[in-house]
Amino acid sequence: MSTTRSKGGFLTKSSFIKSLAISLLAQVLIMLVVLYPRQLNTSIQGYELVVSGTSFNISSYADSVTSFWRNAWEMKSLGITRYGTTVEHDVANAMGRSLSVIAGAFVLSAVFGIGKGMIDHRTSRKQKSGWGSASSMILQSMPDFLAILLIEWFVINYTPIRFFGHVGLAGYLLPVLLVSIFPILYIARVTHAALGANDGKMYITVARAKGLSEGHIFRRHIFRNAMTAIASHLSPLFVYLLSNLLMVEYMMNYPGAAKRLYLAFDYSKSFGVGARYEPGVILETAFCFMILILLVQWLALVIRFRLDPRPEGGEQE
Amino acid sequence: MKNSRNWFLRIGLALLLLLLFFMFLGPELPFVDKTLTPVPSRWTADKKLVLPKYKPSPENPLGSNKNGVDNLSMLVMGTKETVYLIVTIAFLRYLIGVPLGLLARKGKGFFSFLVAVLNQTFSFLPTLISAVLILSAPFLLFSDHRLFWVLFLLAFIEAGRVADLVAVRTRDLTREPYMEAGRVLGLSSWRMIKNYYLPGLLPEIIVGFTLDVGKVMLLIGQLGVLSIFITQDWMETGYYFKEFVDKSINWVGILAANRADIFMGKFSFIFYPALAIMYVVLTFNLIGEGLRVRYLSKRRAV
Repeated sequence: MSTTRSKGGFLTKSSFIKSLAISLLAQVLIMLVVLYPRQLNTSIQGYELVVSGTSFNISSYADSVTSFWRNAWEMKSLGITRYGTTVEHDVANAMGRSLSVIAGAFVLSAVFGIGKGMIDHRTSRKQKSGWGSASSMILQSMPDFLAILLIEWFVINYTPIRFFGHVGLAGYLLPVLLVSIFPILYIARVTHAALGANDGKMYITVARAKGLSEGHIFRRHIFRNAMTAIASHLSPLFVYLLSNLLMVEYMMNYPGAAKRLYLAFDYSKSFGVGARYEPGVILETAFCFMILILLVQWLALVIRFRLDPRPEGGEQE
Repeated sequence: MKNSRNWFLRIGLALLLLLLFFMFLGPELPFVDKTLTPVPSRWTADKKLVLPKYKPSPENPLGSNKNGVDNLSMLVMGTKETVYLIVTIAFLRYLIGVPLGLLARKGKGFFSFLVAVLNQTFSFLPTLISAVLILSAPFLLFSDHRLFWVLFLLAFIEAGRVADLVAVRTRDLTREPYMEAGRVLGLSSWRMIKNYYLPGLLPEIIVGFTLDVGKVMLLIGQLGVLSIFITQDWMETGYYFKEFVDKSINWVGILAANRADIFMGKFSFIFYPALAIMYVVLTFNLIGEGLRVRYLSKRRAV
């Protein structure tokens, strides 16, 4: 990119708008998937129940989309949930419970992940840590549900803590910890790589030759530059966190947004999708997730711009 | 450092060999019941009738399911199908993602926009949730070609990510001086792709593919925990009551069948399919990291 330094501010602003535009388009795509007509044709033939999915029909598709939004406009709500409350009420409740977990896990994974990455970096410089990399390899390969299962088994059998439900401090800390395990490993890996990439650079050698203290070099040069790389991984981190959230909420029976979203699909083994499919809940939860991810993306942009005001891709020049 | 890392590749390949052994020769092993016959009841030595689920014993090292089918045999017999499923999905993902990435390499224009939107759409709903949403659509549940559609869609969901990686890498390659040389020579775009771009991209693609096989395994496992099957039949399990039943034998189905145990605090069997899944993820992660060191560190050194 041939933008000069003075255009840096403009560039950031346009990337803000670009991410917003793409998010809105993505939201429309999600809506089209969610509002795809889901009626089934059931009939009884002789002694057998016969069900067939409806074939694609553009007019019923259009009808499904327009009637959903017409209802929403008239009722000033995205619909009524299975519990007889409005979608907004239900999603706000579930989202509130999840938000605290998400926020806690996000902070925890950023702080501990970067901390672990820094420690990994220091130990790897001093010695070859074959065992360290092997153990983190095994941890990374562990499916999240297996990790949750193991912890669940431990908690139920060996501690007095209640695993299911969301009561008290333990009921909050447990999901936060479970959600952040894998994101911590992810950020630690990213930090370790970013620190390693900057450490070998020429200007660090120059700084060392000048006799600056290791601590000063690390804080002012290596860490500062590594942070820009780490910041670009904040939004993948957040998405990773959300997908862990579903597994944790599902397996802990935690009544949060991801669990509510899964409930809204009303997936059952007998019909696949039941009569209690709640498109409004899905759309609104997805919308909330989108806002959160956008905020994190913007946060990452701001951090990157504050630490490194050069325009994107400027380093390659 | 390099020496210790290359162990990744060696151990990974050793694990892969063991996996291949179980895939192709596993069914012939003496302790594996190839036919997976249900044993409805069994008499103990002191003339007591025992009904399934059988507890772990020399006959059923990992116990049995509620029909009396040996759990260990099911795991071994399911290996082949599981591995075929995940490799196919990962392969399809790259089949879609790589050309798309090459088309989007300029960072502007229609394809680049398409890749950005694809990438973004499926990152708002985490992959797992979009997979649930799409796979539970009625026209897919009752489709005659469900297997094909499911494989394709699971591949498609993350194809945007692959395309994005390929596009970024291609853009980096474009800046290399030898690319300029090719352009100056006036080579056709086909020859540019074949002789200039692909050799530069191939190591990256191979490494990414290997790591993705592990990722697909994880995703399918998660779907299994939520009882969504890849292969299923809609069968009558009671009067006028039909259910999706996973008739084929793969680890995901086994995991799903034992899922209810989670809520009852029974962990006896659910660990084993999960461990098998972890084994596959570990194998492909090790090979992927090993290949990365082998192919990509060389480039870094230059």
